[in-house]
Amino acid sequence: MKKTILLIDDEPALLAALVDKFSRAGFDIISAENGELGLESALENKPDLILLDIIMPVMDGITMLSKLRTDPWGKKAKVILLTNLSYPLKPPEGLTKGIRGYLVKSDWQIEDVVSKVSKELGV
Amino acid sequence: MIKILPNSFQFPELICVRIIYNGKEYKSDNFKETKHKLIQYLKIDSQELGAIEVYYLKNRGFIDEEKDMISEVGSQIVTIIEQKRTQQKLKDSEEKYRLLFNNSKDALMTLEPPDWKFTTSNPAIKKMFGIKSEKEFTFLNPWEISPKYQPDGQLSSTKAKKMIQKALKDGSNFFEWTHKKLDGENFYATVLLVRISSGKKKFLQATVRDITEEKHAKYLAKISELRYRRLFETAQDGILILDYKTGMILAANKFLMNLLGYSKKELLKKHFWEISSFKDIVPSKKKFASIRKKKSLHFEDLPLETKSGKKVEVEFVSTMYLVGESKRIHCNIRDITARRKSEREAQKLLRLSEEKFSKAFHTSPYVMTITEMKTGKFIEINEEFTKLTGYSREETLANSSIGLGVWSDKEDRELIAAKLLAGLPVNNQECQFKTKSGEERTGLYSAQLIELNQGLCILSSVTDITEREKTQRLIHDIKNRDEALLESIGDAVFATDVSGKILLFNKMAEKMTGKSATEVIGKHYKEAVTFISEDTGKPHEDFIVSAVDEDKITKMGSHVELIRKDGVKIPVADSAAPIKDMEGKIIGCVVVFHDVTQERLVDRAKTEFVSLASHQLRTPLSTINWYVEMLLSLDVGNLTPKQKQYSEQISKASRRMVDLVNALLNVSRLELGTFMIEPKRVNIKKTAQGCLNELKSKIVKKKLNVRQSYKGVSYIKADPQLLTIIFQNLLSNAIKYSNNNGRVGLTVKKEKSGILIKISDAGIGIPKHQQKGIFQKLFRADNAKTLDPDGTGLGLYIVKQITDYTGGEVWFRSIENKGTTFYIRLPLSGMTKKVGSKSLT
Repeated sequence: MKKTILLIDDEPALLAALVDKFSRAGFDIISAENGELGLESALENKPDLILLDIIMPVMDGITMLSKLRTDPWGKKAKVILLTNLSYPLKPPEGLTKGIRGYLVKSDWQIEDVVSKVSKELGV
Repeated sequence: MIKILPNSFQFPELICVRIIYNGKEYKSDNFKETKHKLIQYLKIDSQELGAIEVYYLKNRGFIDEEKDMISEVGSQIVTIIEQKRTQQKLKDSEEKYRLLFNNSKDALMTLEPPDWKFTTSNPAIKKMFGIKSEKEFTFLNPWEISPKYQPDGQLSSTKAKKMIQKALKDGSNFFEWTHKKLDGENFYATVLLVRISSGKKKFLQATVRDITEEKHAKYLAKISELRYRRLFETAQDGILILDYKTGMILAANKFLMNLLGYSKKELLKKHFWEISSFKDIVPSKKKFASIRKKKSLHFEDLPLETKSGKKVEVEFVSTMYLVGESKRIHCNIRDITARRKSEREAQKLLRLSEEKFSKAFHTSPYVMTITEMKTGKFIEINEEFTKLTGYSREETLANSSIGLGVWSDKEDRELIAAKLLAGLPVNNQECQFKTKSGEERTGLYSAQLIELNQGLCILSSVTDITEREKTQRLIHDIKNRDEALLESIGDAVFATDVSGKILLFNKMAEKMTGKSATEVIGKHYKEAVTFISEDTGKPHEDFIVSAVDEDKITKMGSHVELIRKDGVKIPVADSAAPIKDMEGKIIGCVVVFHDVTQERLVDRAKTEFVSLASHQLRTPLSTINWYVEMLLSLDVGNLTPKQKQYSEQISKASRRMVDLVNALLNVSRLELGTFMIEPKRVNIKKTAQGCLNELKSKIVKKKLNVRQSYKGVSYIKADPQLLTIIFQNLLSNAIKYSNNNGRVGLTVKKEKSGILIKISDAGIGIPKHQQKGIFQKLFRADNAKTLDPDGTGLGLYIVKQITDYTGGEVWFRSIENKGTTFYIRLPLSGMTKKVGSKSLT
């Protein structure tokens, strides 16, 4: 069964690149362009993994994450932070659990991002 | 006395009498009245009588009848006066006896037969016999106020009766008697019994006198006599007693005989002038007479010759005194040979001390003068005086201090003289003086009075403090300026002594702490000013202690907060520096701090700006990277060789851009000091090998021979991220600047002084003239630029910053075209922890 990934990023070009690459890699893709939409989509679709950007308009990634963690399902959802902040605004205590990685976009090749996600999902 | 005035007398009614009597005047207008009044007056007054004048109002003679009347009155008056006088005499005598009786210190009483008891007594008996009233005394027998026995052993009662009989027989009897007071105390008395006959009745009047005092005085006189004898015999002075009239020697004491070598026989009953020793004082009888006239003689320094011809120096004092009726001369002769000797020695010492004084006076660095008390005339001055005042010695000594005008204020001298005369000290009194050239000088004036031949003089010394005053004023000005500076300075400043007690607390310190200077001065700074560490909240003042202990200027370290009086925390930055005295001894500490709230805000804004800026920069770079990557991975179809080549150029440039952004981000964080150092237990070998792995493609490409060596160290306490940055930079440089087939060495070993990391290459090296700038930001050596134009010039700068912050050090050795070796030494205890908000990438 295909794994579903929720991609949340406000940068259309990067989002497009990710959608393209992950689709090719055989994942089902849902995408959202800010934290708020991403949260709605996550709770509705319950993806296998969420790739979450941090700096976004409307709702940033950390806020979205903290809200997600209040949901029974969201509490256990797998999340990888994919951002260009070299060091995160540290997620508050209790939010770090279930975060599978912190990837700096500019330091990661897109191929390697796909590999990391595949590994996390055991694909 | 009656005086009849010689005038004629015709009308009796017109006769007037004036009596001047006892200082008062009595007058009558006619004779009848006069007669009556006279008699009345004379009856009233019985004291001393005055003159009575009888005269007439009209100027005429007496008629016979008048003469008779006058003589009648006169005889009556005389009779009355005579009567009065007799009465008066009797009264006086009685009064005298009564006074004597009452006031006598002797006890007076009468004894009456047949049983010889006391009948009357005077008040003196109370004290003498210790009784309360005369009544109590009456009807006692004499032996009842006596002890049972008299000193001769007879019973008092028996002896008393004998004495009474003797008095009755002889008319009087005077004898000594031991009496006894009623309280039992015996006393000595003399008793005079006098027989008094009144008609047939005979009785005795007794006068008892207490002679205890007299007896005591006699006893004292005896003792005094004994004492005198002893003194005379044992005196350490020679004593000679001469007869005043004859000059005969009456007595000489032992000491004198020993002194002069004469025996008693040779001296006594001889004339004074016959003894050759005294020939200088009294060569003749004539001279002795002249000495006698003087009554008292005193020779201070008299050489006497002993019998054997030896000279002795004596002090000779003679005084005339009376013994009963005869006059004597007492001569005291004191051997002063020893005293003279010691006096001579003292004089020698005095001369020496005078010399010393004179030397001290003349060579004193202070101005010294001796002036006459009254006139201020100079008696002596020293060289310093002439130097300072400009007056020559001659002109000074010819003048007085007033005349010369050395006192700027003449009153000063008067006051000082008055003070000295009053016995008050004059010490370091500040006075103004004027020199010859008119220059004003300030001096500290001390003086004392000395007695010289010239009379009372003032010895004074003056310390010229004009220069000192100037300096003090200057120091004062500087101090004021410094204090004003301290008060107005924008930084808070406080100073403590070595023990930490606050001595100074400026305005800004008051403002920042919310405490007033008066409130904190004298308290320990820990009590007054609380610095805490921002993260731990614990007190933080090590920097003050270490400034004093380690004798260096210390900084507080970042992220320290001051707790204001109201509890508000203010971020501060500060430093402490030891205060030293002239000898370099630490006497305290000055602490300077200021509010860094604004700086913190700016720092935070900068940090956030850098973070965001780098984020913003990276986003388009990531887009480029990923799309090029997708092109090159042929996700969207094949590429022509040219397309592939161009895409690779884009990718490479974009990567470089990412590196540059990362390096700049690190530099910015290093410079802001916002990065953190979090030492952990790290496997240094694994860290190094991880870095080498990342560089593997380049190593392989250049066919480099990498040798690794790890000795005596596996785990160290270090911030893994920072350690990685160090290895990354140094290893990538070594690889980058190596020639193909070159050798790269990596050694990690534990030494006494720390953990040494050595990274060497045999590459292009650093040109000697550029080695100095190698750790500067954006600096690149010429040969490195040629070889790799893409370098950022930030790597070594970052390494240097990291080692500096973590307590380590970095250095290198390099020869151009031979190779370079970089050395890193980290402390054995590991990297120093640093609190911060960001880690480096």
